[in-house]
Amino acid sequence: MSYEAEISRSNPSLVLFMIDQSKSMSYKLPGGDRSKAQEASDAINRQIGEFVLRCTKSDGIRDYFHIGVIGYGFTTGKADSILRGDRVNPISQLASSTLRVEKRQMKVSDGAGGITEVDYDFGVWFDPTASGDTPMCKALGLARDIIKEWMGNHPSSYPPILINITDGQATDGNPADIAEEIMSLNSADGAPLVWNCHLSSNPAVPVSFPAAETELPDDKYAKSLFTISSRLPQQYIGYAREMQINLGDEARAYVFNAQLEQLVQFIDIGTRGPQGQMQ
Amino acid sequence: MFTVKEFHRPKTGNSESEYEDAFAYDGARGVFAVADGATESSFADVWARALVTTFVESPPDFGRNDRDVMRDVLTAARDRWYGGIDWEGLPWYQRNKAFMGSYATLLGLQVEAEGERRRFRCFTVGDSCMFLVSGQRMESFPFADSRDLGNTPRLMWSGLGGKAGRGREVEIPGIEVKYGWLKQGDSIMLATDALSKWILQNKGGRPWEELASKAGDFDSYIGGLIASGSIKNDDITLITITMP
Repeated sequence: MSYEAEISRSNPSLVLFMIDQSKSMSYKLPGGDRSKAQEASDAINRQIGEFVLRCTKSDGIRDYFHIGVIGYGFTTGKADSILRGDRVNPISQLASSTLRVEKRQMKVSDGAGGITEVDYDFGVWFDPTASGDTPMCKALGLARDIIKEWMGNHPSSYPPILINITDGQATDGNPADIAEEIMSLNSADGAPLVWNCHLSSNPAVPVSFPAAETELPDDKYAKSLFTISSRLPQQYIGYAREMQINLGDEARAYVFNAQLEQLVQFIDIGTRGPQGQMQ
Repeated sequence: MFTVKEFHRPKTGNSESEYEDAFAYDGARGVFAVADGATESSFADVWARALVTTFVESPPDFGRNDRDVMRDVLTAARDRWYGGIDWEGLPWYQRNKAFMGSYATLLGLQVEAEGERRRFRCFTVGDSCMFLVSGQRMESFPFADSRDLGNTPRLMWSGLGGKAGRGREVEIPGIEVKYGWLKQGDSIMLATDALSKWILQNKGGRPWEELASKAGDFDSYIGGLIASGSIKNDDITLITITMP
C-alpha cells in the first residue's frame, strides 16, 4: 500500500504550493468578497499556519513538514519561490519567518455548550499579487526540480504533495509532460500527488473531483488541468466522502470552477493525508 | 502500607522531556493517578501533570459525590495549568495552539489507608485502565476487551487558555466510576492506553505474572515489546499497588 509512511522528524514530508499570480487573479472569486488572488493567498497562508499549529508542541516546533510556495506570473514569464529563505523550508523555520502576524477572530466552543469569539494570530508569509501572464510550465518545472531533489534526499518519505491554484491556462506551453514527469517519480511509499484547483470567474456550478473528462463542461482548459491531476489514493477518497462530497473511486485531484467553498475544501482534503500520518 | 512500584518511559525515539503521560501517588494516603496528555494539543504534559497532582494532593472524601469530586479536580487542575504556562512570553504560533487548551485522560484511584479489607473508588475519563488482580483472577476497568480502546478516547479539557479563557466555566466530561473492595494480597495495576491494550490482549495468559517476572529489566522488556510491534510506540506508564 502507498501513502502510508509515518511522518516524523526523522522522516518528514514535503508540501509544495503553486499559486497563479497572473492579472486575471484580480477578479472577484464567487462565494467570497475578495479577489481570487486574495482568497488563494489567504487559503495557502492559513494552511501553512495550520501546519505550524499541528507541529507545535510545548517544547517548540517539530519539523514534520518542509514547505515551499512557488508563485508564477507576478512578472510576465516568471516563476519563483515566494517565501523568505530557501525554496523549501522546515516548518520551524517558517514559523519564525513570517512577513507579519495579523490579529484575527474566530469562533470556538466555550466548553459549556456555547460559542465564543476569540482572537488568534494569523501568520502571513506572502501577500497576494495579480499581474502578468500564466507561466505554469515554468512553475511546474521548478516544482519538479524541487521535488526530485527532495525525494533524492528523503527516499522513504510520505510522497510530496503539490497543490496548484490557478484560474486558467498556461501561457508558456503544455504543462502535461512536466506534470507527468512529476507524477511518475517514485518514493518507497508512492508517487507525488499533483492537485489542481481551477478557480472560477463566474458562478457556474463547480465540479469537484471528477473521475472522467466527460464530467467536465466543454472547456479545453478544464480538460488540460484534469489530465495533469493525480488519481486520488483511497485514503483521500475517504476524507472527501467524510465531508459529504460525492465522488467515484477513479476521482482525480481536481476541482473545476472552484468557488471559495471548494477552494477551502480542496486544500483541506489535499493536506489531510500527510497530517494523518504524523507520528 | 501499600507496596507501590512505578514505571514510565517516553515513546521510543523521544527524550524524557517529551514524555506526555503523567503519574502521581501517595501510598500512605492511598491515592494514585495516571494521565495521558493528548499529543495533538500543546502543553498536554503540563495538563496531565496538573490533573494527577491535583488528584493526589487533595484526596477526595469517600462520601463526596463522584461528579463533585471531578468538578473539584477540574477546577483546581485548571488553576494549576494556567499558572504553569507563561502566556505572555509565548511566541505567536505557540499562543495560538495553547489558547485552544490542552487535553488528557485521567484515572484516579483512592483506597482506604487502613484495614484488612479496604474500600476503593476509581474515577476515569478516557482509556487509561485499572486492573485488579485477586488470586488468579484479573478484573479490568473501564474496558474488558482490548478492542474497546479506540483512537478517540474521552478527554479532560483544560478550557481555553489565556486571560479570556481563565474565567470561563468548563463542563465536566463524562466520567466512569468503579467502587469495590481490596483484600490482603490483592494488587492493582494502573496503566495508560498502550500498555493497557497489551494487558487486555493477553488477559488469558496472566499478564500480571509476566510483567512482575520482568521487573529486573522492565525498560528493556517493554522496549522489546514495542520494537516487535506487540505494544504501540507510545508513552508508557504503569503503577503497581500491592495490598499488605
